[in-house]
Amino acid sequence: MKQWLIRNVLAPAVALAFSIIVGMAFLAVTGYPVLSTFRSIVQQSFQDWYGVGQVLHTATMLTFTGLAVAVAFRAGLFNIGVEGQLYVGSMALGIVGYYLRALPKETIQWVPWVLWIMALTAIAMVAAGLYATIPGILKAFTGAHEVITTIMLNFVALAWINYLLRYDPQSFAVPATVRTPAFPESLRLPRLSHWLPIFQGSVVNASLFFAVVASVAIWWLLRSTKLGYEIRAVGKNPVAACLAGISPRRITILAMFLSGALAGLVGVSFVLGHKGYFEENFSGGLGFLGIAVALLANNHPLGVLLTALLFGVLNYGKVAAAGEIPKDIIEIMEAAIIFSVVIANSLFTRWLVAATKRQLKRREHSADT
Amino acid sequence: MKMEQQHEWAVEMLEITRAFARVVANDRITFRVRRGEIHALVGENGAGKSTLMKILYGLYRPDSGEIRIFGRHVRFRSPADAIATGIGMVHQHFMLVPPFTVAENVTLGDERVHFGIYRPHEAQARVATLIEQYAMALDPRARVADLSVGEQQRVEILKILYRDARLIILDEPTAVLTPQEVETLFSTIRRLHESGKTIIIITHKLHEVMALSERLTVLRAGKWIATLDTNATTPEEIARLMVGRDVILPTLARDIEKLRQLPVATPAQQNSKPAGEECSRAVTGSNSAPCVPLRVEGVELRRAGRQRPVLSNISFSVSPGEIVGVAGVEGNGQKELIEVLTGLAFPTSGRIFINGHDVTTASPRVKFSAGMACVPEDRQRHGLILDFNLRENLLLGRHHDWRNARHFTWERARRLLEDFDVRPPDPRMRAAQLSGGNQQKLVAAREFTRGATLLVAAHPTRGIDLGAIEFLHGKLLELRARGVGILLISSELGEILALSDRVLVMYGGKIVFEAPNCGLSERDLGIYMAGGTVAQVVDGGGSQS
Repeated sequence: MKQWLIRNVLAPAVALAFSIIVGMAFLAVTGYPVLSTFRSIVQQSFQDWYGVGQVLHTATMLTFTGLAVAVAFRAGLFNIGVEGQLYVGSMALGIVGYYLRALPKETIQWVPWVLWIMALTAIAMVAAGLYATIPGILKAFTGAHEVITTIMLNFVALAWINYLLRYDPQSFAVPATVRTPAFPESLRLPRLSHWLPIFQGSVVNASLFFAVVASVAIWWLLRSTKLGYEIRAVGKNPVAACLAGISPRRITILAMFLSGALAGLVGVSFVLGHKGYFEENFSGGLGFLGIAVALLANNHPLGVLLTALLFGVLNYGKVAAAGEIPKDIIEIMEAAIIFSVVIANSLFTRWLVAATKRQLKRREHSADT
Repeated sequence: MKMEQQHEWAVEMLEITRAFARVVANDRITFRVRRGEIHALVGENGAGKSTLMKILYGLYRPDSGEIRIFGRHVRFRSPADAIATGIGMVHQHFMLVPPFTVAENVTLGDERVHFGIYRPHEAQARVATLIEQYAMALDPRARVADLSVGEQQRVEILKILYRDARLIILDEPTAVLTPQEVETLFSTIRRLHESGKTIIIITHKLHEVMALSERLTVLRAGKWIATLDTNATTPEEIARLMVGRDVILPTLARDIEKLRQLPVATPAQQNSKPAGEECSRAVTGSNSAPCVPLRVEGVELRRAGRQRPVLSNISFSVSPGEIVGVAGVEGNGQKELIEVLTGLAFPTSGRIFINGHDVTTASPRVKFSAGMACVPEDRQRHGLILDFNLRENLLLGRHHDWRNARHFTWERARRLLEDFDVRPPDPRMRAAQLSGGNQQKLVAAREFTRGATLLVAAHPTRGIDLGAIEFLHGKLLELRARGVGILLISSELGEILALSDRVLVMYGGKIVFEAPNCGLSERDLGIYMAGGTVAQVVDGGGSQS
C-alpha cells in the first residue's frame, strides 16, 4: 500500500512540483511577475462558474484522450495517434450529420433520443477504434513499430478529412466553410446549464458523465476482467504472457481498438455536446496532451480523471490569461511536466526496488541469526 | 620490456572475487596463463567464465584480487586500458558496422590521422599487410555486410591485431560457425599461436578443448576447480569436473529412494506402465492414440544463419508416472528442445504429441489445454511477470477460466505460497521483490499445481538453496507418484541420476544416449556428454560433417 502511494501519488506530485518550479523559473527569467501570474491562471479558471465549466469541458475531452493513451500503454503500446483517431471518430459523426440533414424531423423523432445517442456514440467509437486497429494489426503481424505508424496515420487522417471537406466533389462541408452541417438540436447532448443554470454560457455538457463512466469502466476492465489481466500481462512481459497461453497479437490488436475507441469519444463530446457539427482542426493537440495526462496519472484510469482536470486548468488558463502571459510559458510547463514525470517515475521505481531488496535482505539476515 | 619478455606468465589473476546483487560470480578464482600458450577456459553457463574474462578485459572491476599482465600489476578502469596493455577480445556477438568496409571496420576507433585527416589508403595498406601475415583470406575493400559469419569473425580478430594485441580472448568463437568455418578458425588460431600470441579460448565444447589447447582451466559455480595439461587429461575427466559431483544429493538419496517406492497411483495409469500402451481414458479428437503424456518424433530445428540444425532427429517419449532426465553439457540443444516443447519455437520437421494430441505447431495455450505444465529455463523472462503481484503471477495460465480464477482469492494464494515455502508468503508483494530462489518456488507453485499430466521442468532447482532443492525434488517425486509424466532437463548430473527413471544425453543437438536409470554412473554419462567415444573426440569430433 505504501509502495502504491509512492508510485501513484508521491512520484507524480514531486514531478508536478518540479515542473511548477521550472515554469516559475521561466516566468522569472522572462521578467513576468511569478506569483501573480500563477494566481491569475488559477483565478481565471475558478473565479466564476463559467470558468469552471470551460475547464470541465476541456477536462472531459482530455480524459478520453488520456484514457486512450493509458490503455495502450498498459498493453505496452505507445499510441501517439490519438489525435488522428479522434479526428476520424469525430468526422464519422460529421458525415452522419451530413446525411441526417435531409431527414424529416418526424423520422428522427420516431427513434428515441437514447437510442440515437447510443448509436452515434458507437459509430464514433468504432470508426476511431478501427482506425487505431490498423497500426495494431501492423504491429501484431509485421512488427512495424506503433510509434511510427500512428504518427504517420495522424497525417493521413488530417489530409483525408481535409479532402472530404474541401475537394471531394460531394463535399461534406457546408459550402464555403470547413465544417459539416449541424445535427438537429434534438440529437445533441444537453449542456450542464440545462440542469444547473449556474453554468450558463459554458459548453460543458453531458459527455462529462461519459468521461467519468469511461474512467471507472476502464479501471474495472483492467483490474477485474480477463481481458484487462491479459492486457497488463502482455504489457509487462509479452514472452511470459505468450508462454502462459495469451496471444500477444490478439491483445495488441484489441488494445489498439480499445484505445482508438476511447479517442473517438472526443467526437461525441465535441460534435454532439459542444458545437453540434464537425469542424476542421477543432482539437488542436488534445490527443498529444493526452500523453501527458496519462503519464502524470501513471496510466491509472482513475488518476486520468484528476490529471485531465489539472491539464484542463492549465489549458483554459492559457486562453484566459492570454492577456497577461504568453501561452508559450504554459506550454513550456506542460512539456516540463512530461519530462519530470518520466524522470520521477524511473527514479522512484529504482529507489523502491532497491529499498525492498535491502529490506528483504535484512529480514533474511535476522532470520539466519 | 626486457623483464616482460622473460616473464613466464602472460596473465595472472589472483584470488579474484566479484559478486553481483545476489550471486558471487567469481569466488576467489586464481587463473594463470603462460606466455604464448593456448589456454582453454571451460565450464557450464553461469560458471563464471564470462565474468572472469570481462574483468580481465576491464568491463567489470573485481571486488578483490590482483591482476598481473606480463608480470606487471594492472588495474583496469575500462576496456580502453586493457587494449592499451595489449589485450584484445572477440565477443560472441560481433561489433561491426555492416555498411563499412573491412578496412574501415578494422581501423574504426583507431583511425590514424595526420593533421586531422584520415587517409583511407594508408589504413587499407596496413590492414592488407596484416591479412597477408596471418593468411586470413579477406578483401580489405569488401563491405562487411556482404561477408559470411566466419569472415566477419576474422575481421574481429583483425581489429584486435591492428591494435597490437599480445593476448587474445575468444569468447565461444565456434558457437556461430559451420564445421568448415571452424576448421579455418582453428588454423587462424594456430597461426596466431605460432607468431607468439597468447590465446585464451572460452568454450564448453570438449573436442575443441582437446584439439586446440595446451592447458585448460575448469570453473564451476563461480569457483576454480582445476587447471590441467590437456595432454594429461581426458574429455570424460573434463566433463566430470565441469558438471561436478553433486555434494548434496547423496544425503538426500535415502528419502528419494523412499519416495520412489511409492506406487504410481492413478488406476487409469497403473495399467499403462510400458510406454505406448493404450490408455483407458478416451482422448477426444484423436483416433485412439496411445495416451502418452509426451511423444516426440524425429524433431529437427534449424535456425537462420546456421548450417547445422540445432536439433536433429530428436525422438523420445515420457510415460505416465515417469521422470525422464535430459543430461548434457549446456549449449547442446537443451534450450532449443525446451523452446520447441513450450511453443516459443516450432520444429522445422518432426512431430510432437501431448497426451495423443498433435501439438507440433500449436500455441502454448493449446499445449496447456492438452495437459502440459512448464517450468521455463529463464524464470524472470519466461516464467514470471515481475511487476505483477504474487497472486496475479499464480494466475498466469489459470486465468483462461476466468470464472474459476476469480475464486482464487488472496487467502488461497497465500496458502499455495505457504505450501511451496515461498518467502515471504505475501500474495500482495510483487514478484520482482522476491529473491531468485523464491521466484523459482513461485513458478513451481504455479506449474506443479496446474493439474497437468505432463511437466516439462527446465533446471527447476538452479540457483536455489539446498533446503529448497530438497523440497522441490520431493514435490517432483510426489507428482510422479500421482502419475504425471515429467521431463527433467538439468545440468546437475546428480539431480538427473537421483530422480530419473530414464536418462537421455544430448550432445550437438542430438540424443546420443538413452537408457533406464539403473547402474548408470556419472562417469559413464560424462563420456556421452563429451560427445561419444574417446576416439571420436580426439580426432576432432564435430569437425567432420
